[in-house]
Amino acid sequence: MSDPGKNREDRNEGQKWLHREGQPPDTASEGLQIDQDPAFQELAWKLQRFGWWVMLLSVVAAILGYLGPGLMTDSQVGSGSVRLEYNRFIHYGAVTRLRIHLKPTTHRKDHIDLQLNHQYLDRFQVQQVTPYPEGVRAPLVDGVVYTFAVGSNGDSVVGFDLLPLYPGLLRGQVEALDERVDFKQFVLP
Amino acid sequence: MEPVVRALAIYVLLMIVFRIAGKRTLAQITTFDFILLLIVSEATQNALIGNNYSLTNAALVIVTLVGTEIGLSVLKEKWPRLDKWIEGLPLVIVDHGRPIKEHMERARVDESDILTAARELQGLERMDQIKYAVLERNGAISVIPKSRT
Repeated sequence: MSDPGKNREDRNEGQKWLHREGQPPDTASEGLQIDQDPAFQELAWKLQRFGWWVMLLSVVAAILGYLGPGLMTDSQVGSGSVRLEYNRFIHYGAVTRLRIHLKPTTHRKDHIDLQLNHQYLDRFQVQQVTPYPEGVRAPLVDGVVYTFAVGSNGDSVVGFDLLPLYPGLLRGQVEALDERVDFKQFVLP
Repeated sequence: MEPVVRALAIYVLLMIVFRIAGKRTLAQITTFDFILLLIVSEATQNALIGNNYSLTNAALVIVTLVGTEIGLSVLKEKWPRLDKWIEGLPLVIVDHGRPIKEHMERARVDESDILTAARELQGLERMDQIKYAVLERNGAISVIPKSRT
């Protein structure tokens, strides 16, 4: 049930705008029955200008990569045997690529085992892994282990195409060649 | 739940963006404005529906959007202050043949816009024949002519 007293109060408030009692008119439009509120109008314009800046800044942020893949936020972590290329800010529902460079430093191997943590993989649908792994197993401990053949020069570059299933902060861990690399990604809604 | 959240998020986003953009942004539907409107609808479509092409999802999105619209109209009726924030206020831009420059600048309306409206709506020829011109809440310009006596 609506309160009739409250409605009357609101209407009276509306009437105040119409006549702007006690205020000198900023225009001579007293003959026009119209809601005017110069103070509100001024505030609305100020907020509008502020909003324009926010829109401009969000476009700049998007170009720089703070609202998705962009110029500044394509990151690399790790050095030596395991190096990761990834986007720090990704979009929910849009495929992102995680590239992992593997370079055995100590001795040459025929196969490399690469482990990605469960906590990270659970938040994605793995769309494609290139090159195709020779084996995938999920030991009960930390993550999923992918086994890759090593290229003729001993190096290997592995790409994971991942589709984020949930928005939020993700913590990933890649373990290979006795090294562990940690990284963070933020999935924007 | 997801379709409801998506629809509400898009509704609020569009409301804020178009309120920030100002009344005049899509008020005069030029050919390009029309194309822009189509592109905006195309861009929002995916965010609204996602990967869920089910009839239920579409129904939920539609019901949420229309329901929000109805709900807001009821609330606006109840609280005029909310109406003012969402829809803005009409703005007098010509007063007895005198264009109010400050208002026109802030609302991005120029004299030719007013004269166009005066010609189209009232068949007026000059600014001094206009008693009032008002930029209405929907972005259109309404013109009241001086009495021809």
